[in-house]
This record gives sequence, structure tokens and C-alpha cells, in this order.
Amino acid sequence: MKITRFYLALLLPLCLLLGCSPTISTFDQAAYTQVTSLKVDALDLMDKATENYTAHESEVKTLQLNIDKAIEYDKHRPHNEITTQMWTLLNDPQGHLFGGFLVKWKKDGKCNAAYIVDKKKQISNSFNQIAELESKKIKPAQVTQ
Amino acid sequence: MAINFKNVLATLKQGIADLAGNSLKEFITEATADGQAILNDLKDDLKTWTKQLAKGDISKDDFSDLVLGQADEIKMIALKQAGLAEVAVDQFKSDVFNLIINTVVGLIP
Repeated sequence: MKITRFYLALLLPLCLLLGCSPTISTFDQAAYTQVTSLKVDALDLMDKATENYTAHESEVKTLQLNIDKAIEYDKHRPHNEITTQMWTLLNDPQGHLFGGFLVKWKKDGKCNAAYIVDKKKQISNSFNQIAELESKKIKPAQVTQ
Repeated sequence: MAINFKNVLATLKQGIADLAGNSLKEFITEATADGQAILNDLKDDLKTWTKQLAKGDISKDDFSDLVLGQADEIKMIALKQAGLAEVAVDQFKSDVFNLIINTVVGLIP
């Protein structure tokens, strides 16, 4: 009886301490698939920016809608604020990543080929940051609680 | 059965110290590699863009957008590192929990 009490006395406070809610969301396969798939679509669309924006406006709208859906999905996952902030930065029309690129393409009509190559590197790397964070999150099966 | 309370605590203390050391070491190695990659990229990209601007391959507006894009990219990397730090905290908590459970349960005959 004394031993059982000892175990309980030791375990209970520690379980309460360690069992509190996670700091960040766990890995989500759907979110990972979305970001890697959207990266391919975004880079593919960027290749077309040497042509007139108006010729690709419907493709831009479709891709933008898909990105909005991915952001909405990530926004509603608990403890997922950092990934949501990353999406917001990537998609910001006032910024200088994918959202900003689309605005610039629309404003300029078409983009310089060398600029597209350089910009693709930045945008590819930015999508990679979201994917890398997601892939390194703890897998749900590994969570002890 | 007599339990050596001092030994249990000493085992846990050493185990937790090892876990903390390993988690931190891995995180610092990755963050340093990311930081080094940013510096190398920044240096190389600026050279490339300056040459492209001089040759007329990109406009002043393109150049400015690329420089500002680099700053946004660095913010993305910083956010990822902040996220990875949170992952490391959760992993550490989970590992400590498992260590305690396994150590204490291991004492039960």
C-alpha cells in the first residue's frame, strides 16, 4: 500500500505537469500534402508570367482560391498559429512573396524571365519552410497524452 | 520491497539532463545550418541581381522586389525555427513523461 501511494504521489503531479496541452499542433498529412501540392502549382504558374497576366487570370484565381482553402484549413487546427503566420506572409498581396508576385504580375502585365527565375527560388524556399515545419511536427501516434 | 528513493531521483535527474542536452544540441545544429545558408544565399543572390540589373535583365523594380522578398524569406525561416523550437519543447515533454513512466514502472516487481 505504501509503495502504491509512493508511485501515485510521484506520478500524479508529474503527469499533470507534463500532460498539459501541447505547445504546437501535431503533424497533419492533409496539411503537408496541400502545401507541397500548392508549391508545385505556384511555381508552374510563375513560369507563365512572361506572358500577359490577362491570359492566365482564371488560373491565378483558381490557385488563389486553393491557397485560401489551405490557409483556412491550417487556421482552424489548434496550436497552429506559426504555420498560419507563415501562410499569411507567403500570401500577403502587400508583401514580396507569392501574394506580392501575383500583384506585380497583374500591375506589370508580364514579368522579366530572369526576375521569374530569381523569384521562384524565393517562393519555392518559402513553401519549403512551411512543409519542413509540418514534417518535423510530432506524429500523432508518438504523442503520449 | 524497499525502494531506494535517492536512486530513482538520481536516475531521473541524469535521464532528463541527457534528454535536454540531446534535444538542444540537435535544435542548435539545425538552426545554425539555416542561419549559415541564409548568409551564403544573401551574398550570392545580391551579386547575381546586381549583375542582372546592370545588364538590363531585370528592372529596378524587380531588383527592389527581390531584395524585399529576401527579407520576407528570412522571416519565413525565422518563423519555421520558432515552430521547431516549440516542437522540441513538446518532444522533450513527451520524452520526460516516458522516462518517468518507464523508470517508475520498472521498479514494480
